[in-house]
Amino acid sequence: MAEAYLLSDDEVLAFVVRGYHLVRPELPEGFDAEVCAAIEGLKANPGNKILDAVPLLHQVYGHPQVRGALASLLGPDYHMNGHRHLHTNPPGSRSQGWHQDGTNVRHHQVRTVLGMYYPQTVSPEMGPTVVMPGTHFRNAPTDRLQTYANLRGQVALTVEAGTVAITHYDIWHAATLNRADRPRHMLKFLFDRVSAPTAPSWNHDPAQAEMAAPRRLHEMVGAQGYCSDYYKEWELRQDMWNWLRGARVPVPPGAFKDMLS
Amino acid sequence: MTEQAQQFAPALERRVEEWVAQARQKPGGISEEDMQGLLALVRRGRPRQRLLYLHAGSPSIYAPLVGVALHEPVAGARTQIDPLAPDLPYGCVHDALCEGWRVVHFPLQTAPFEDREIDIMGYEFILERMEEWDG
Repeated sequence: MAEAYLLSDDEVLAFVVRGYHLVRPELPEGFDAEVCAAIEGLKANPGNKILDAVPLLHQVYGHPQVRGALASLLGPDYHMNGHRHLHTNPPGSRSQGWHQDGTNVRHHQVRTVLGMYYPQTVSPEMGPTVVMPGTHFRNAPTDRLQTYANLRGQVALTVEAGTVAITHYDIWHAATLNRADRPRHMLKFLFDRVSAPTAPSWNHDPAQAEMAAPRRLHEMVGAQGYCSDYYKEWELRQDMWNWLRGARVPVPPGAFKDMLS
Repeated sequence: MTEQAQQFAPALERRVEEWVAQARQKPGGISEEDMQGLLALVRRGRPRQRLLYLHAGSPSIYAPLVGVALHEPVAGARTQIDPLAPDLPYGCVHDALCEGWRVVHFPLQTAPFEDREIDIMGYEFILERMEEWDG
């Protein structure tokens, strides 16, 4: 992996704190429109076979900028998961409820991420995905999230065409109501870590990281103002940051047996 | 009442305010027919329960809010996550009390026995207002 495409310490720290990172790979002019046309020409949603149905997507997830970000967060031997899906949010839709894609796990590692590619520029009216920064640390069953609606600090992914949003698998997110007159498309791919980190897999500068980490890891994101949780969250961020750098972090009791300790 | 809280004003109050505003503009004063119209306005609708879920940063009613979900008692109405929504209509639970909302559920005060984990966000207060409603 060319170093030029790996993330910096600051970008990895921001991912640890917020739970997402946006990449906009430099793709040929007209590429995203071509993907949209291919999607809209499909007779049915091919589910996991979307990559066969729209081979252009190989160029997105194989792009050095996307691969560099994924390798930075998951290690150089990361693996594309067999599950992927075309999500189309049609005009007149209702919002989803807040949810995590996975079941709850008592670890704070980066084992799986979502790579959500948006082939259109997404306006607030088009039903963007919303994410809640910092919630990837919350061990919260999705059914317990169903009394929430708008949250202070939620972030709508109103992005330029071609953007890939890489999110921690556990981040709270939802599609929102589409008020526009056209569908909003999103390609969701999953990527898995294969091996536990033994060293930073990004452009790591120990001296700069040493300076940046305390400030970044104490950044207030999301709803803010609930101090007890924040103090715990700082510790969990530190654990994740340490683990990504190859340090051994104690595995909490009750965690999955196949954790990468 | 703040502009953002205006949408939470009771339907009857809004209708009467509109009636008063129109009556004030009417040349020649208010007629018997107008008075009958006002009575009809007041008699219309049945009381229904509006629910307001407020998630506060702590169990205190003065704690800043983390989230708000208003549920209207209208068939087919569904509360949504809206990226175009303005800022939260109230700063804290107490602000909502001042607008006539009544708390029907308080969050538990018991602290979770968990040294490190964090789970759901905020402390859930459920408030209601019984109001007559069209539709």
